[in-house]
Amino acid sequence: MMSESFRRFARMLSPILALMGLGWVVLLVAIAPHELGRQPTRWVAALVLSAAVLYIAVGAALLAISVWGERGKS
Amino acid sequence: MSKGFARYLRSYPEYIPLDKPVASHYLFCFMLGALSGFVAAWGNTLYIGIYAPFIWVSRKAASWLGACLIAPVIEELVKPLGLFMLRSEERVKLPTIEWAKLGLVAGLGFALLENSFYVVRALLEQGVAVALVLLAVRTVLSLPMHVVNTSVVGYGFGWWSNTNEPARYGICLSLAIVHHGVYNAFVLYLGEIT
Repeated sequence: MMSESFRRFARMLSPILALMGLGWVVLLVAIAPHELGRQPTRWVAALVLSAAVLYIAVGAALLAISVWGERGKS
Repeated sequence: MSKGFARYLRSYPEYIPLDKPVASHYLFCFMLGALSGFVAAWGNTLYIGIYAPFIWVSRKAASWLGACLIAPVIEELVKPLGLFMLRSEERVKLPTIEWAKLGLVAGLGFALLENSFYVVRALLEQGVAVALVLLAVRTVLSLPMHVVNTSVVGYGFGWWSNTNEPARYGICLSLAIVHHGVYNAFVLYLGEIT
């Protein structure tokens, strides 16, 4: 059974990880073209988007775990 | 063990169980998290013996070694300094999640101080525009990375202190070090290919 502290920990981390994922998107869309003076290459865009998706996925997974733990409790 | 030392250990105050930290605990962890940046910088410098041959062979290899291996280990070890001191000196006993929250605050202190160092250096060397871009990038990426890592280490610390199993702290610390190292490697690689 999932401990209450881990459930709360997962709930605490999930928005931060999701924000970090959005941070990669901000970097790709807003900051990189301005800094490079051109659009990033496809390879760079794919790498950055993968990082964004990974962080958002981990954040979503942690949120799901905490919600699942909460439902299991009631 | 000498009799004097045993007597000293017995006289050490009992732990004070609390449901949640008080405001001064958060402030303490935040300040020590920030100050641990200096300790980390000093610790990183101590490893110059390992860096040195790499600098001689390849400056790039030295920067990869420093950023992906040495810095993550040192930084993740020293960032929760405030948590260790709360536990050992203030004799505070808290639920695991509360240690994770204190870790989060310590990571925030560390990241804010590190950001201000980098931004001020960029401001002096490269001007306002570069400094502002660096501030934006570090705020959306590096700051949450430190916050997440230190809260994971804090969670491990609380897990250890509530179960007396140091391996649990080791698991969380390793996780944070690996995440930090991979993040630094990714950022270095992105910097090189762009």
